Amino acid sequence: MKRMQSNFIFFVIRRIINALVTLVLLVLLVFVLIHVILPTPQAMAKVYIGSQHYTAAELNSVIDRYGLNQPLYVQFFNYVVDVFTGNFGLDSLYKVPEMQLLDRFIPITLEFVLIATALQVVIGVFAGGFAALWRGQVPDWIIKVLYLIAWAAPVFLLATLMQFAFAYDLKLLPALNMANPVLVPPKPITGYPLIDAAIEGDWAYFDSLLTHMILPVVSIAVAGFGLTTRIMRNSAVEVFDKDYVRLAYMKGLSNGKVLFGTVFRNALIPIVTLTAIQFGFAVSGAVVIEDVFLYKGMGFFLYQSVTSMDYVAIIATTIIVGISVIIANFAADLLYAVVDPRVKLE
Amino acid sequence: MNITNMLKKTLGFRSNVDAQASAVRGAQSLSTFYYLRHKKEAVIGMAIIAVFVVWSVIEGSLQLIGSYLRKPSLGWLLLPHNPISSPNVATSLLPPSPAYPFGTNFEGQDILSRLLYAAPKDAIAAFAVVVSAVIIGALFGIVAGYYGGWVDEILMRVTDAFLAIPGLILAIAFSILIGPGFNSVLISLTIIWWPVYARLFRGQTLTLKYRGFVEISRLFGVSEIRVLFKHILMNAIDPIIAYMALDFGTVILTYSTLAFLGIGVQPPYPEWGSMASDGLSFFPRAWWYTFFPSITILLIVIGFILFGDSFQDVISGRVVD
Amino acid sequence: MNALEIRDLSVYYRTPLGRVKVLDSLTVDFPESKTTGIVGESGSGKSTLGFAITRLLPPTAIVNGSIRYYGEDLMRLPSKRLREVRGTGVFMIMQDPFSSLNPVKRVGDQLLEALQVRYERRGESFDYASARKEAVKRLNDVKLPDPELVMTKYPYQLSGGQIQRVVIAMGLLLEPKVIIADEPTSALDVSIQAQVISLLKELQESYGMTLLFITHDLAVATAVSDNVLILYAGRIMEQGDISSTVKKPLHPYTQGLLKSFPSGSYKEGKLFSLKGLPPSFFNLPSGCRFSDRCPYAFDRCYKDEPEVYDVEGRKVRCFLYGKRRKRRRSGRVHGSGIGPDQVFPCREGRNT
Repeated sequence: MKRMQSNFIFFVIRRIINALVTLVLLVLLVFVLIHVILPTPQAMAKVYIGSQHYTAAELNSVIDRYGLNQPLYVQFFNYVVDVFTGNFGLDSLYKVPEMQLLDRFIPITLEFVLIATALQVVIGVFAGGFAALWRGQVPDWIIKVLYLIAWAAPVFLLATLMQFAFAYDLKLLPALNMANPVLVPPKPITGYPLIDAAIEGDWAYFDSLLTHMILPVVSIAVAGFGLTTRIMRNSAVEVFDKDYVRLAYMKGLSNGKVLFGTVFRNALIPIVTLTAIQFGFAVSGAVVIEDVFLYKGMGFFLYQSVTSMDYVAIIATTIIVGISVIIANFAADLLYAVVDPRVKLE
Repeated sequence: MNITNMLKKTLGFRSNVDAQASAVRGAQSLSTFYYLRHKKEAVIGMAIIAVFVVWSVIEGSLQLIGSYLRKPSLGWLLLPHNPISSPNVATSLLPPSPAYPFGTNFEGQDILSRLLYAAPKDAIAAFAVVVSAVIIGALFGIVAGYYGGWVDEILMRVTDAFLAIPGLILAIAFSILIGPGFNSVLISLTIIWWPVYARLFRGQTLTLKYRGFVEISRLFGVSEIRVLFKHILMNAIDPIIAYMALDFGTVILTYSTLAFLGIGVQPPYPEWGSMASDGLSFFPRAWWYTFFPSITILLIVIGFILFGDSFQDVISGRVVD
Repeated sequence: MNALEIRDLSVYYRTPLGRVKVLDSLTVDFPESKTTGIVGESGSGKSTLGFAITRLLPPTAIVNGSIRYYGEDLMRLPSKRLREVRGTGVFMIMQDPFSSLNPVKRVGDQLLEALQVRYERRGESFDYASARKEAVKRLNDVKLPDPELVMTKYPYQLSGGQIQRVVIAMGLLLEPKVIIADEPTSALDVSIQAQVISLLKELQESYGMTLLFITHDLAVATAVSDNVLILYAGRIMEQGDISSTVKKPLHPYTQGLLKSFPSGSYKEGKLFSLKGLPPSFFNLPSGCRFSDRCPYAFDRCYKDEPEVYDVEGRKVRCFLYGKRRKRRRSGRVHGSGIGPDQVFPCREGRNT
């Protein structure tokens, strides 16, 4: 037992190193791109200044201040350090430290993306399991048709459709915004609206947040559950054919025990990795969702940065999103090792 | 040999030898086309794809020739109306009718014609992006898988770095860096797309590496590159083709979503995604404006998914009905 | 008393190339407390027979006929009763050890699961400590070294032979009346093979179980069985007690099998082997299925299929022993709700 525990620790360390290396490479990637597009220190400085009007003196001062004249490897090193300390520089547009802006927008997106990812995993697993059980028969076909359409529909179609059906037409749910604009939002302690509202005990606002979140979350979940269902179904069907399932029945175990104890446990293994991928998709979807439902999160911020040519923001957002996906993959890797004992903990 | 292995796979028994590839070959040569011809979903999918591709080729060629001969009107020769006609208040926002089967947009242009005109772009995007991604991905993946060691590590970390950023986000970021327009969208999408294929090819290469025919070829003194190309690539490509079929649809989805956000083809040229986006402002009064472009995207993507799904099922041996 | 009575069992598989009849109107009895060897080449349908008895065929299978377990027809049992028969009634050890055990659960846990079932059935309350002791004792019985350690391991940490023995131990814990062992030794080294075979024989004798030993190796069957069943291309070719069958094989196929054994004496010269290959189920010869390889085949063999004839208390399917025998009708199959039938649906079928 002790040996397995220390093996696990080494495994975790190794994964952490992997994640960090990937992170550095990610930053390198962005760095390379920036320097390809803005090859000279002057071009970079223009970006930092962020407007069309500047003097040569201003340009030079920016170059000196940000060390844009230094050799590339020095710049890269500084860049990496900056990223790790959260220093993305001053936003070109707002002229405040980038991190401040990010702090405001990240939690909002993260909140509903996480909930959406969780939701689509749950839906997908049950739908997939169900379809596998009745494979080849009517429930299987129905689920297949449903998820094919959901999968094929672009996120914006689903979002607008939902908005129209439930908000404008049936008037069941709110159409836009994070919460009822009339209500006063809670103090931003953690930055996560749901948590802040709960801390303050402001349940009215909490409620409002939840109701407003239903449509966006469901839209992303519907767009994403197709892949999860499909993989779950195929995984479950594969497991059904395995001899150890036969053995489980052979032992005389009840159907419930076999399905949930043996089949599910084995079929769920690929879903762990898939969830990390789905998280990435959900983040992409968030851009569209925030557009349609007027959420002021990272997607909105990115879009705004693009339209207003706010380079610093674009770069920072890209890196942050990349980091979150790396973290999600890391978590999935760890969970996978816990769930599947066959993973060699070298 | 083929039949037995395929039979074993179908019967649900575990083949004790690594029958994946041999069963695949067996399944492929005998029942792939049989299966695809007879499975309803695959047929519907193929029909949709065929219509889409044929039309795109025809219309695309017309547009190409038209632009080459400086006669852009060739592009709308086969269309009921001019898709990029000048704004006309009189015909603005008309509901579907025999003259305008899908209605008109705010500028008074026929939506059906615009949809048809924009079709080739999606087809080109899908084809160009996927094929380029496969080529680049194959290069990275096979080299990484074959040589292993730190070449593998480095290439895979780079791939991971690319994969870390969700496609849409990266495409949006790129668009500003590279500039607007159709070609830059293609480049962005290709850059996003290849890492997945690198992963796939690497996985396949790793499985194939130890298969014996690699060692044998090298014993015979066949040059390394030939081994790589002929044996590994040709064998690895089977499941990847199945994935590609599905991927065309995904590219179209991403491409339209980008268009929806305003990235890609610029006005006045029509693009399905941007048409859907524009139509939103007039929803639900002029419902046709956003409805038809969205449905078109949905339909085409469904076609690819139906076909790709069935194709993947066959390749993986899930041939049981 | 017969533990199992099989009447007119036919199993089809649905494949993309059409329907394949893998077992054709099989009729056989398995006497209790005896070992019956089921011998046949790969693809002769012997594993299918095992799965058919336990009703765990893959969904592509269609089954006809009846299988009586101590008088109850397994094909017609409702799920609840079927579940009761499994485990403490009929147990099967499967061919491939590497997929036999649940890869995500420890060996000990899986053995205890089996014990839980037995306790439940006998109305005893589950006592963790004594259950564990019993599991360890059984692992000892199957001659696994360091059983305590094995209990904590995961299946991937064990070798094929060890897993096979774990499954046998599991069978013992359940104390079933019938054990079907499907090629339990084919995936093992020769030295382990011998151990496992003698182990099974020991256990069968001491517990009085009915053992169905499926193998492709007639020599192994000889070492283990009291009775033997020779399958070829889905049909029973010969059936009878092992010593007479080996001393005086009736069916040409059996004779060929026995002749193929190296005799152990020096100057044997060229080894005998049967000409040709077993037929594919898609392409069965008309008449007797062995006719194209049979050295004694005559006209009738190519036209009609022989019935099963009784000879000296044994049974042969060969025109060389021609006489007549009766046939029975086929039965229908029963399935219900959500249960193992979803995972292993048995469809009723029509005779082609």
